[in-house]
Amino acid sequence: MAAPVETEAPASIIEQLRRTRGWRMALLLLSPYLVIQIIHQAAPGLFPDWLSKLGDFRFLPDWANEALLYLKDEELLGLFNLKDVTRTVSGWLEWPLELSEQLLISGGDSFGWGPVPWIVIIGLLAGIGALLGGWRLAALAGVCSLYLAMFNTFGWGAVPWVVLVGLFAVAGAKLGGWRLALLAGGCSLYLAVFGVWKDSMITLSIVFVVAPLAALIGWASGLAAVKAKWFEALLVPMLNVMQSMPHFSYLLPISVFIGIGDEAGAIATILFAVPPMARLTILGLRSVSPEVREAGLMSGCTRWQMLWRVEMPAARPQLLVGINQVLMQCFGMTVLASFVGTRGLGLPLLNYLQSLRIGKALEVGVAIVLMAIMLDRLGQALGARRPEHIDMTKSWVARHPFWIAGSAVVAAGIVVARLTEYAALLPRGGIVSTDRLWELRLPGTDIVVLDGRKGATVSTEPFWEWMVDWVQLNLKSPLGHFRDFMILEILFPMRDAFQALPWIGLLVLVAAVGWRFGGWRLAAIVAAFVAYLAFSGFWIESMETLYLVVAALIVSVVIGVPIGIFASTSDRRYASVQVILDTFQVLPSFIYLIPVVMLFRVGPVAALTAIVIYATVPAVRYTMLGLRNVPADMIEAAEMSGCTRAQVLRKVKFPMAFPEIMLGMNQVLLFGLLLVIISAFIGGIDGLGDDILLARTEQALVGEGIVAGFNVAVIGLTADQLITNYARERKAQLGID
Amino acid sequence: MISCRDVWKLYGPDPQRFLDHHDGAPSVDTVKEAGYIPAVVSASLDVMPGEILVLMGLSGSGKSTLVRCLSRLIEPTSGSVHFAGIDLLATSGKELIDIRRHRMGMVLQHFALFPHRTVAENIVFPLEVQGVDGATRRERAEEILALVGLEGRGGYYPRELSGGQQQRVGIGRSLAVEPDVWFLDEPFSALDPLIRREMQDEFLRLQSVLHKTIVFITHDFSEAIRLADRIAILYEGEIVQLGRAEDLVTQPATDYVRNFARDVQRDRILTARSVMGDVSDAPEDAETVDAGAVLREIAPAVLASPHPLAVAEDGVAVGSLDRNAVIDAVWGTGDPEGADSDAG
Repeated sequence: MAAPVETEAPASIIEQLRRTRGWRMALLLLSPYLVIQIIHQAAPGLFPDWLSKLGDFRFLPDWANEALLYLKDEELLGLFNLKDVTRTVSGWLEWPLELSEQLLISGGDSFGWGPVPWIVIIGLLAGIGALLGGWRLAALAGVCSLYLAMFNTFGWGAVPWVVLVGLFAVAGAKLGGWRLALLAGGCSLYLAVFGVWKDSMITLSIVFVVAPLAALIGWASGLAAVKAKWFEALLVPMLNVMQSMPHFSYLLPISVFIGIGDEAGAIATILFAVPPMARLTILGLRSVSPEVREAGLMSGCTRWQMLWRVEMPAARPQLLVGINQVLMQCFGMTVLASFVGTRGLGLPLLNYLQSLRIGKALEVGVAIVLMAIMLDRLGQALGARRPEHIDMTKSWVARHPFWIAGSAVVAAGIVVARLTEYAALLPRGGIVSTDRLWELRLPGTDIVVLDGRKGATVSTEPFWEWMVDWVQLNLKSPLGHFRDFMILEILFPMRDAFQALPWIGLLVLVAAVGWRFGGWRLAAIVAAFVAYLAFSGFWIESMETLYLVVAALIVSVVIGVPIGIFASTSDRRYASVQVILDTFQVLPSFIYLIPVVMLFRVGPVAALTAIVIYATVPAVRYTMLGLRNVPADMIEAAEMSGCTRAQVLRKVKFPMAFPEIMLGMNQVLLFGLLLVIISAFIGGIDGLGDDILLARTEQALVGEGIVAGFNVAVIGLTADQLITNYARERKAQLGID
Repeated sequence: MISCRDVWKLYGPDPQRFLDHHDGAPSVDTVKEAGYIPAVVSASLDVMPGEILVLMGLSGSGKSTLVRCLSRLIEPTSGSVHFAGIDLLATSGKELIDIRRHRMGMVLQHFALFPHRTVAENIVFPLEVQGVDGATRRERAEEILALVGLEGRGGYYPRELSGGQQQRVGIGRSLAVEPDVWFLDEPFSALDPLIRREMQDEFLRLQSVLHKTIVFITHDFSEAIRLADRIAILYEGEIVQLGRAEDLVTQPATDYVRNFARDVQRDRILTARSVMGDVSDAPEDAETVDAGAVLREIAPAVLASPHPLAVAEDGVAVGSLDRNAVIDAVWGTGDPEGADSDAG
């Protein structure tokens, strides 16, 4: 009887310790770390080196390099070469990518129906369209396939740009009224007029192929996860890791196994865009109310009917949100895939940034921004649509205005394109303005009209160049001083402090915090994460990355939280800030580098600025969300107790919103980690991003690049585990869900 | 029509083994101590053809679980359920689907309409999954729309309708296949009181036309009394009393039942039969009232009469009724057992 008592007694003391609060708790959590630091500083002799740094421990990266080379060159189990398999898969993508591009930009060239699986996939997509959208969507899919077949067989030209611009406008009108029509029409018109039509259509042609495939795969895996427990147990952790891996971790291995080009980018994009769709499919199917399911059962549905006629349609809103996310992820990743030679809008941007032609880069950047906004708003409007009854007393024409407008646009566009070459070809001159014949400077503006042999194009480059020049002329010296101050006085000391940290110190600190918020289990998980970082061979680099992200986190919080507080105080401000945040959020992360390069060229301050711009968005959003979700009666109670506005904020709203704000911090960290890797591209900072980028040029180092990418994910997951556990506990205490 | 015997539904790690271990009849306390949640405890009842049986209880009393056991939306842990002579728990998936497609209808509390389908498409959904052709479905949809008072709304979507209208659609859908048995799970609880009243009237009107066998769930005792032929009161998964409203009021089995019965309008429920006195008390020439009449109807005559009236069952005098008996029954305690327990 004595033994259990002995084992239980210490446990209860530990449990009591776990319930202490305030500074005592902080001291308790810090003390193991402090002990280690004191020994480390005061008695370095007592402290073995390997507990502090494992810099020479190169097992993992070396092993990864070799494993990758093995997979690439040798036959797996003596049966087949993995590279051949991946090349075959990319071969399947070649045909639809080509078809899609010909359709949008380069014109038909008869080449048969392509590999058989594609007919199956197109059929599947049309079928799903029919299920989700009824006979109309099925009919649209049918007409499109028919057009594809004809286009293919007779070698028709690409769809004239006037038709595409018109169709975007009609789609906007149908989905969101005249405002969206104006937005979609205007954005696509900008692409057409300002010489980026060809590149943007190449990007779009890739998105048109990869987005449906990613959505299909994500949907299927989400469905499988809902229907089979074991698959969910497998899938969800995988999604967690996949969603915290930086973009490059998708691009690199694929460039090894597939090579450089559109297909590599397409495959990386598909992989990258699958997780959000899978998650939203799971969420959508789970949130179908049990009563609706019961209604289906009592109506006598078979399992198949349940899925297709009850669950899928009921989950449609979430599925559409998922499709919108897939669309945006695909667009962003396709742009970024220019790093592995994928064509489209990303490639010229990359080239211009590398050659520091900021004006040109800005022009392409604006095109990317406009296209992202257009796609996102169209996708969102599609998701927000709710069915409405049709007034059958109206005439057929009045009931189908958009179908008629769409057909009219197509017909008129084709006729106009026949009559004047410009309607079909105008933007084709596009980027290729080297063979221009004359320039025309529009009076009073910096806009130049160029006319090439094949068509005319308008460029805004001079305007942007003028702006860049102005910045250089007027801001160079203050910006330079600021940069130098930041680097020398703040960033480098901070970096040195992070790198001087012995890994065992960080491990005990993180484990202690984990123990506080999630018990021994969480402590073990996060300790394992830190141990992995220490033994990965990239400890120094990980700390270098972490310091920059933490610095960015601090700045983002200092900027973002006050904005969030300010924006949450009135409905109008809230709504308008929401729109700005939504817009920022859909831009491909790559875009954030352009203004930063313009201001700071290279180095950690440039990277920091880019991360801060990118990561402040979630800081503002979550602060706003947390404050807005404080129950109104609680605020009324505080006001009736005589609180001033500042007191209401400090004593009621802020404590209530704090868990949500912490979740925002988590997002800031995750966003920051993704962007810090991309910022490695502009150079001047070391860290994991550098190792990942190095692997781009050196195939023998790709294994290393993957390990480094995995480190990024592990850092993100550590923070994620700690913060979500904290927020869950705290929210439960406060009684908010 | 439906008959269930000794139905148990426990939630917990291994309810089947737990029940077997206790020979299928553990006490509720044993169940709770073992960490199981008793949702339905040894429920037995018969639903007669054409009757409205109301399952009444507070939330968490197991009434919803019990009705789902009767329709096998939930698999009971043990016990038997017979539906029109068929052992429902032994049916295969296909047979069960077939029964649901032709013989059962169910109305749910929050309507559970399919948001992506129009009103008409919702109503004929059960026909659609059976594979009934489009023309027949359209015809049937029109009939049902007329039946539930939604003519001209067939093309609307559920979210374009008010709550009461939405539940009319739910009722319509459950009637589309002309089921033998009609389950209604708190169909009017989510509605405003005035609408609820209106829908209760509508429900009684439909039943007077359709004569279905009905299992109706509610947590509202006055609704139960208004609609029920018989009422089963559930408490913590157990059926504590099953009987006519009058039985519950005059002979409540437990304090729990008595609490519900306390605030009802007794004059609308009690019949002459349940409060009458000895047949010899009435004079030979006394007026006669029907034994089945509720007090509200006969009170004026009884109160106006200086001497007791005779109570007759099928023309034969079986008792007498005087002013004091009526006054006592309606306004007094009228319930000696209740007075006892209050005093105790």
